[in-house]
Amino acid sequence: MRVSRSREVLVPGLLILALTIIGLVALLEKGPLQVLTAPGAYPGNNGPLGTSILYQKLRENYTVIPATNWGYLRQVLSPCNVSVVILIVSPETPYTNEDLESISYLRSSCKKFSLLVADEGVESNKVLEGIGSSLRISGAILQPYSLIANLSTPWGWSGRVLLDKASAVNPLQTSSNLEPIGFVEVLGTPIAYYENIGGVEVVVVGDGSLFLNQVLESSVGEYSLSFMKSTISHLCGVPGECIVLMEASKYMGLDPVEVLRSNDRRLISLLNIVDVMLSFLAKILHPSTWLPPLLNLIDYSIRSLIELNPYFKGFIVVVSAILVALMVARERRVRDSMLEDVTEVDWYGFGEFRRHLLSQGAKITKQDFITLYNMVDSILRTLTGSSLEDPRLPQVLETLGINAVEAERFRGFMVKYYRRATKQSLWPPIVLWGRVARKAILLSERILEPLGVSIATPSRLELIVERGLRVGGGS
Amino acid sequence: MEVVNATRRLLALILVGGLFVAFDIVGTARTGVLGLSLIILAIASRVYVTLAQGALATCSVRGSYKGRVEGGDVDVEYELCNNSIIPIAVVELSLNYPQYLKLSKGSRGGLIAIPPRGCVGYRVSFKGRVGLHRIGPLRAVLRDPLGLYRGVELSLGPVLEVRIRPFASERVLRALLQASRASGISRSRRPGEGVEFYSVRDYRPEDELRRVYWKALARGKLAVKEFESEISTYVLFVLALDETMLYGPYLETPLEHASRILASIAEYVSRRGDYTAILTIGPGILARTEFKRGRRGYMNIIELLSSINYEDHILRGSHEVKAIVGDKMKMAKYVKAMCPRERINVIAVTSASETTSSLIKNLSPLRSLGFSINALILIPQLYGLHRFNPFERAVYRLKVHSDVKRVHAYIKELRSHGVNAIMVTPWETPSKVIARIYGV
Repeated sequence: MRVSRSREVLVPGLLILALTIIGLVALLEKGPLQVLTAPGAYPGNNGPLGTSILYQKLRENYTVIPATNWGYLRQVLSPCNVSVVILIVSPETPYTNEDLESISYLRSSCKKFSLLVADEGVESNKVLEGIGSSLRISGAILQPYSLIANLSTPWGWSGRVLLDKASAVNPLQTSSNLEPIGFVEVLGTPIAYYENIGGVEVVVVGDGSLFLNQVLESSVGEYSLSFMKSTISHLCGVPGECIVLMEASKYMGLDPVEVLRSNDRRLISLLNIVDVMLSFLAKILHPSTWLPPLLNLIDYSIRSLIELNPYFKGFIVVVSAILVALMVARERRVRDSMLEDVTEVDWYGFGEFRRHLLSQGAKITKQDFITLYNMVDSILRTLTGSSLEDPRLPQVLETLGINAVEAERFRGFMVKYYRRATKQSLWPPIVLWGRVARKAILLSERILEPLGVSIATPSRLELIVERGLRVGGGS
Repeated sequence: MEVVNATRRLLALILVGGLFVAFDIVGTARTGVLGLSLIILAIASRVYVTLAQGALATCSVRGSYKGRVEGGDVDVEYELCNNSIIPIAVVELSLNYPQYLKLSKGSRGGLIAIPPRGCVGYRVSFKGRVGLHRIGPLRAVLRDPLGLYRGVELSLGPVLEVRIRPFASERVLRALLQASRASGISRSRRPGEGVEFYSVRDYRPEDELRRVYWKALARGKLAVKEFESEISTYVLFVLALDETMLYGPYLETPLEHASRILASIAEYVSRRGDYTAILTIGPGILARTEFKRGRRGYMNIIELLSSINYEDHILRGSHEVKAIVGDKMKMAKYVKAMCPRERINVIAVTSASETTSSLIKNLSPLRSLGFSINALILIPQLYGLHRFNPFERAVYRLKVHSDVKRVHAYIKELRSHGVNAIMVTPWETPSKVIARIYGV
């Protein structure tokens, strides 16, 4: 058996298109994508000069946050109920006052604050100054390269590490809070210091290359890593209550497009090519890269065509008209009428006649007069024992308080026209039955009212007529 | 089927927008931005209506009503809650309800806007009329604020089954009790507790002093008055329906009049401790209750009266019911089967139409089993006298007189079948009617 499949449109294409355009414009509005590839000691760089290995190793025991924006971290860590260790390895760009304020804020608000600087340059000195340390890195690279340094810390770690490009660490003044913890073997130059500023512990090492990927991956890397772990362990205290903020904002970023375009083999060798390619793709696919040029191109093309050929304007109008017509034709048009409300109705017997009576008034016929005559006759027979034909009726009615003259006039009127209506008499020859019946109704009301019966108001009229019929068996 | 359709306004807007763009391209006027804005507005409206239509379709709608007694206000309320984050505007609402109901407060429909994560209420009131009425659902149509697009019509909320009970007044009840005392409606022909004088007998030591017959004492004889004990009887109410029972102005139709009469008598007999039941016969209904004593019997009757649906039971009808009701023997057998014993008082209320007249006639074989049958015959044509001036009323009465005469003939015929038939006019209160039944 063949099963027929029906295609059900759940989401209209136009809606998807509109949402896509909204999404693209929203991305565009956020500005161009900031995909940077840093060749330096950036924790995200897994090239030889990066610190991604250090970052990974520390993450095994601690909560490590790459500090890409110190102002944002200040907001996130407010209130700061944990111990914080700031780790700075060879920053390349200077710290701003806002960065320093944020770091100072962390220093004053966090449960415990410590700083570990490994830098051969002078960029870190501003941070040291900002937190009130008297240590400074000289920035003068010691010659020759690849010296050996002996390290011995107050928390019990001692050993030798291989320096690359190192710089001396000098205190501004001598103090009991200061303790040199490392010296270059041959030169005797202090290469590392420990300082305690009222509970704020600071460790400064005059060489950032100790913790670069190329060193940690080498055979001598284990000493550097051991020193780092021991130091962080001392500065942190309990690992669960400590956050390590690893500097990630002060490195020179390179645009991946520029890196690939430069074809600088030395530079590319310092970077992870897969990361560069992914960054390149992300940059290329972002609408800020292609949408404005695309729109410009379309705009330029149309303008060029219009300038080239004046008839092209007409062509654009025709194409636009066709597009608009197609768009409008796709829509199913309906008449936009109001919802039909419920029409409330009353039902009546003789509904048509009733409506006519209410709208155009009553038209009374000869038959109505006959009906009235029979009705009144039946009532009088029931209530007085005399019929309209009975000449004694006025006297009977007089006993019931009705004027005998008036009663006689009424009786005469009714009988005269009843005979005429039933063709027992031909007099009067011309009769306007509407007027006669109308007058008969008014006279009847006057006669029947003292008897407690009315044709014009709710009364027991029908019951009396029925009783009359029951007793007399009349029509 | 599309969820959203365009209206003719869209075509006009697109054409105007297109013209503006064309003027700009041709260089006649710098109206391109305006034209594009109009076209973008149309697209934005389409997107909005599509999203809002989805939100409207997933709205949670609750319905409820208050009021259950005839003549009182029945308040119907719907609450529409928008569960989404999309504001729903503008929605045109219209309430579905039977044609024969009339709103006393509120509007049949309206325009609403439902805020995101918010609710709006829609409330109307009816004057309750006896029976079962299905109210709802709400019909809703969504449009964008400019009316360029219109969503398909949605039905929102539940259908409420509103049951309205007939009104039995305390005043009528008192009149009935007085009437029964004066007439001794249910006589046992045995001395005992009661109000009706039975006989005089010699005094016995346990007799109450207030029963002493003072006239006999004056003659030197100590005697007491005896009263006739009242007995419990079985009363079967029959309500025969057809469309003429719906003739007349709102709340003043034969059906409502009949229901009030039945409810009043039923309350009275239930207070007296009689066994009562009701049989409702109509084109689409053949329903009965069991004979129960006291309040329970009364409540059963009220429940049945409040479950009469005008559409299903009176205006439409069913072949199965007509087959039973139209057969004299089947009908008598049906009634006999529901009665636990013979000699039952039957009080039937109906209008004087051809359909219902045959219904009552078909009950006449029950007389051979000792049933006493009283039929109250209503005249539907007389229920239309309101809104006339006195003269028009008189003319109308003359015109319907031929019909009234047919009722007279019908009543006469019923009487010839042994049914105590009484004509009832619209302006007779239940107490007057019961007084006429029992001749007090």
